[in-house]
Amino acid sequence: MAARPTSVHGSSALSRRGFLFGAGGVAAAVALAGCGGTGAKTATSGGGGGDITLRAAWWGSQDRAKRTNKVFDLFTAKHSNVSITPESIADFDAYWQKIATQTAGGNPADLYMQNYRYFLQYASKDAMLDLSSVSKDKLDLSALDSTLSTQGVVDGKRYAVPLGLNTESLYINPATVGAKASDLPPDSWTWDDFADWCAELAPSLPKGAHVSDDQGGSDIVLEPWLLQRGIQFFTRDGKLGFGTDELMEWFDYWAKLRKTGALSPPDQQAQAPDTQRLAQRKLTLVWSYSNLMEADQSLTKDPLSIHTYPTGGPDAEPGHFIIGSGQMLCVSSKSDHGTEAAEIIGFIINDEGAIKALGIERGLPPTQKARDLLRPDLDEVSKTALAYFEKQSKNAAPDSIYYAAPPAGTSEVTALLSRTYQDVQFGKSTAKAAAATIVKQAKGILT
Amino acid sequence: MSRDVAQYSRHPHNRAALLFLAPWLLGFFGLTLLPMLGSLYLSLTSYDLLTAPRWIGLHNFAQLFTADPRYIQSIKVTVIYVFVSVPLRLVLALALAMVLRRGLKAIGLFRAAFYLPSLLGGSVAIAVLWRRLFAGDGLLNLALGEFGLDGLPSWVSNPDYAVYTLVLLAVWEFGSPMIIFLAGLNQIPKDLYDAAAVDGAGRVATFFRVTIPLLTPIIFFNLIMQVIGSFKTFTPAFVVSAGTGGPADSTLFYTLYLYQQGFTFFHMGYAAAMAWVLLAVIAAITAVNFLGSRYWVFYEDVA
Repeated sequence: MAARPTSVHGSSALSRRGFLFGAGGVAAAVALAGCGGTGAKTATSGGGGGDITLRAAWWGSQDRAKRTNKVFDLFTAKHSNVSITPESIADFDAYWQKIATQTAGGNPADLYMQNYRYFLQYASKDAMLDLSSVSKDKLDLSALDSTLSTQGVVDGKRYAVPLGLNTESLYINPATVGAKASDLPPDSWTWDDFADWCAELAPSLPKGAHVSDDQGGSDIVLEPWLLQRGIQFFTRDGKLGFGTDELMEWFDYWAKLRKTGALSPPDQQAQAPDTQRLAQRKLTLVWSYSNLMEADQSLTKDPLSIHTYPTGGPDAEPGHFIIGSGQMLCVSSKSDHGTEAAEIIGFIINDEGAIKALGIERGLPPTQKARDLLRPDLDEVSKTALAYFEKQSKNAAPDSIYYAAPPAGTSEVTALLSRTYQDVQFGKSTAKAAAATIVKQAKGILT
Repeated sequence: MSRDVAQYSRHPHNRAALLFLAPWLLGFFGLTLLPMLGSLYLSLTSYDLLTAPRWIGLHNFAQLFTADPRYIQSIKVTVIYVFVSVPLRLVLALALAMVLRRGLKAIGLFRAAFYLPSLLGGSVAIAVLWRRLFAGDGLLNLALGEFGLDGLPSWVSNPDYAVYTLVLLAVWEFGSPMIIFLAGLNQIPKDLYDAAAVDGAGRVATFFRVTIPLLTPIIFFNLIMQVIGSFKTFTPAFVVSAGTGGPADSTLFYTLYLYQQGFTFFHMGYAAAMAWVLLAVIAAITAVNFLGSRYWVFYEDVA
């Protein structure tokens, strides 16, 4: 799927997520980039013969492959009996097709990247090793942020370890707003503030430019809005957490905003990635994640400004969440060398060399120690993103089932939301009918 | 009769023939027939790749036709695509073949140039190009803007038009039927044209009374091949809609929906059932075509 957001909200959301995982790349559709690099395997040549060979799989860019292979080189240099065969695939969806096929064939990689959309499915089928069973001298996870205690964990058993963290963020291109800092929104704003700000700004924009994309069909924007009302996207037993009433209210909010002319029309939204339009000053803001600041900034010379999603007001629950479950590492339960594979995870989390080699390419590292270690070497953009992240960590939502334990069928439900909302946008369905359809069909999917 | 068979099997060339056929036979049984039987079995199960397939009988098929509006939508999209693009493509291919048949200068160059889109058409690069051509600020709208046409939609991302941009892409790939038509046209005996001329037939009459009847076997062949090929179209819709079949499911081709069910949602059993329905539909349409061909296809040697 999806290079960068190429179509309306939903798909925009999907591809957004694709990028959150770092799938990226227009060539994503053609996917298989084959095995990455040669690095890791050679490291054993100096050592004691390489008695153990592990396979490690992940998705993502060439840069990520280089960094990951570097970590494996460092590890095998210290453990001469281990050699690691990297299996990297550029595209996120293609990666999961491969992992699912391998798992079905009983031959999965020993060590592989896990993601919240698939986590529970694999956990419920005992496909992953319970890492709590590994002794602490092999795998020490005591430094992990406490905010991650529910991510990668089922019934008290830790199956996967977060490697890269991020949180929801908006990027605003100030060049479209006006020169004054006071033209930018305040540090914290409510959904009403947001709507007012958009409506006020819209008339001053040149023809064809808009403030925001229509996010009515976007699960990643709906989810924090629900959390602020104390509602989870999914319930703990894997049912739909919201009903038609909430969805109607949500659609109404966007319908009102649409009338002010602040939102991109759907066909415009579908035709070019939002970040591209942000760079071209055709769009004022994009809904994104904190680990994407560098990538988004690299597209434009206008210095982007990072902001929070709208909040539910002072009395509401926090809606944003520290997300580590987009990039997790797990060990196959079928692995003959589970302990060694778990040891590699410990190495990645705790070893200074490994931390520096990985950098923040997968997001911010999951321990304070690692973040402090990387801080001095970060460029200005990444420093801004880190500062934003640390500020947001202080009052993040305590739990989001959407990111911690979404049920199987999640991707179907989010696709349903975005697709059905498109009918509303194109005037082929009413908000009321769409909301009813979504709730009814989502319930069917989740049974 | 039985002696013939015995003689036949003893023929010294047969072993060699089998040997040479072995790679194909292995491929056919190992890579085509077995997987097909496997998929037939899977179509009767619920299978998510992670757990063993669970037998559910005909449930997948019942689900397809009674409880899946997206499936019906994918059929609609595919039928529109096939029934609009195939006739247009064949007409264009025949028209160009008629033109190219006359001895133009540099005829080889023209043939190659017209064939080129067929080589490229199925590729990802062309699908990406198509997005740009028919975008709201794409080349087409810029060109139309020169003529004062304003406020035009983004053709690829508007559910009312998106599928027709893909039809256009398909029509543009008229190269292979054109080449086949060319070959067919050149086989029509010249004396028939001479006879028609002597009888005072004009160009139109000659075309409809000589060219078309003698070309019917070729038209029939092209029709069959193009219909089958069009039902199986996947890449353009996948790339143009970034794999979603959007906007609003307007480019949700049958194969794209099958792919989504199988490889995005991991409903392998359901996807297998869809594949078998497609096979049955293509087989049925082809059979109908063959039956219908009795009434309009004219074979010279039979007559």
